[in-house]
Amino acid sequence: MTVVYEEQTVQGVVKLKVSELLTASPVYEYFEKQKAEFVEYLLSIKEMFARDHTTYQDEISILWAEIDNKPVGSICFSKVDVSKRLMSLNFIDAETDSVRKIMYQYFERMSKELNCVEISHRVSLKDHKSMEQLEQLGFTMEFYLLFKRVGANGKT
Amino acid sequence: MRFTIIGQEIDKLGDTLIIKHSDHLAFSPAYTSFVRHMMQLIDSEHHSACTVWDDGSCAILWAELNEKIVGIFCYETTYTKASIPFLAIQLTAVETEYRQRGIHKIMNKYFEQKALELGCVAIRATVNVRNRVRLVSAEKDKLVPLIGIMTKVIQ
Repeated sequence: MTVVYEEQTVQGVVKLKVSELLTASPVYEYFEKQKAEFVEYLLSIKEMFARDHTTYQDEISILWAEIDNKPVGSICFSKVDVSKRLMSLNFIDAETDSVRKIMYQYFERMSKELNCVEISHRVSLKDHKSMEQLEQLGFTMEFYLLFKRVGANGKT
Repeated sequence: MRFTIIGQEIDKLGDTLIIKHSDHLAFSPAYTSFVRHMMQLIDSEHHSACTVWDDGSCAILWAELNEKIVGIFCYETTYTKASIPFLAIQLTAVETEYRQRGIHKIMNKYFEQKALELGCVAIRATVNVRNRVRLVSAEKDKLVPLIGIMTKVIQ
């Protein structure tokens, strides 16, 4: 897998790689572990749609960071709306803030090269940690997804 | 068939509304009403300036008064097969001069009924954080914000 970008940090040289298909990438197992931890975290904050948040399908791509050939962070994204000039960021996690920033900055440049105008990311409103991290990357809250249970108990 | 009549209701002023439904937004009699209200939403910066809906996976119900469309309720059926099946509201609107007559509430009742008929356990609405009017009506519909969409404009 070709290195698309590299940068020297105090932790070592961060190398970024991209696979168009998450499921076919060499870091799929690493990602699955990250995802499992994320789902566990979402469930710990009682996120109703935790599992649906992390259902990744064929059109998902992955960008990941390595230090000394070991994955240290990943970004999952979907180009499905690129024709509408929208890039979907599905998941971002990294072992350090600097790795997250390096990955994100590359991802944003890549999105610009694809002529995208906007990047969007869904986040649980209980997940203050992720919201804070996204704010640090320049994201702002634009929409709420509101839900209501219908049927037997009628409770949300 | 381009639509079916699914009900008749009396609004707060005592006028009779006919509630109609089409499984497909495309070619439904309410299509232009949908597009017009979507344009208003975009102009008020409460919606992204791009086509996010899919004609093929959207259905629409609407209220007619004296053969005039006075309210619409468009929803997406994509998630009826999801692990937590739900209907997603694409756009709901009542013509300005027909507001405060309980028309939204009536349409919402029929929409929730549709959700149940399709085996859904939830309904979902996507609302811009600055669209205070819709946030208030959503609250009255007992919709609760659970997920946010954070965005960044990059060029």
